Amino acid sequence: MLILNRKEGESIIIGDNVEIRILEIQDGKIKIGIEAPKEITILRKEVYDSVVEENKNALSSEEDVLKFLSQK
Amino acid sequence: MKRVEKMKILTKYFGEIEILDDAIINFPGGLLGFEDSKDFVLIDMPGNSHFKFLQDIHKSYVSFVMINPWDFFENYDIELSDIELEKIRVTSLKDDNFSIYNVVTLGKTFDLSSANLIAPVVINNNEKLGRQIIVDNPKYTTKHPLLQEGLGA
Repeated sequence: MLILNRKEGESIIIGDNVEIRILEIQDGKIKIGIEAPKEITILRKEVYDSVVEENKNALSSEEDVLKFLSQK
Repeated sequence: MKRVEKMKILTKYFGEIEILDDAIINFPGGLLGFEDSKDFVLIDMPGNSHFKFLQDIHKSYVSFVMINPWDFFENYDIELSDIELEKIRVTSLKDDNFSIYNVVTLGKTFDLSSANLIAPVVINNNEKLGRQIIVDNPKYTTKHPLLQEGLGA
């Protein structure tokens, strides 16, 4: 992992067209501005991780699925 | 015109079934966490029109229970970005052009079963292309109890 020190107002550039700017640092929170092409999906990692986990949960049901769903 | 071929696939819940190859829905990015699963068919749940299965045609154990969100959550309200929709070639918002489903996680009872409303599965019905899209809306999470609104309540 590349580790860089940045101060408020400073940026990093990734590739040709992604810029990440540190907008504000306060009380242990950092506000980040990201400029990137629209086709690049930007997500909070915990949201992405929660979806991956839930997809895995969805497959792991041990119930008799057909019998279960035919109750309704 | 492309010839439609029949093929046999092994499913998780219905054993071997025969499908038409024009029913195959391609997910170029797979589903999240299942990036290798790219080709699916939608199978109706016999006797219960509220549920479908999204079955990987190559891996029988990969079969997701799906719902039409509005059957259960009548106020489900999401915004899908044009950029995300363009990835499955949806360019107009005509009703018959694409469908939205949500993955269900079954629990011991219906009350303990939930739908993932933050990551709908969008399918372009004409092009047979699909994508799971995460919506950036704090109202929704990966677990909304199925009986919360709508059906049976």
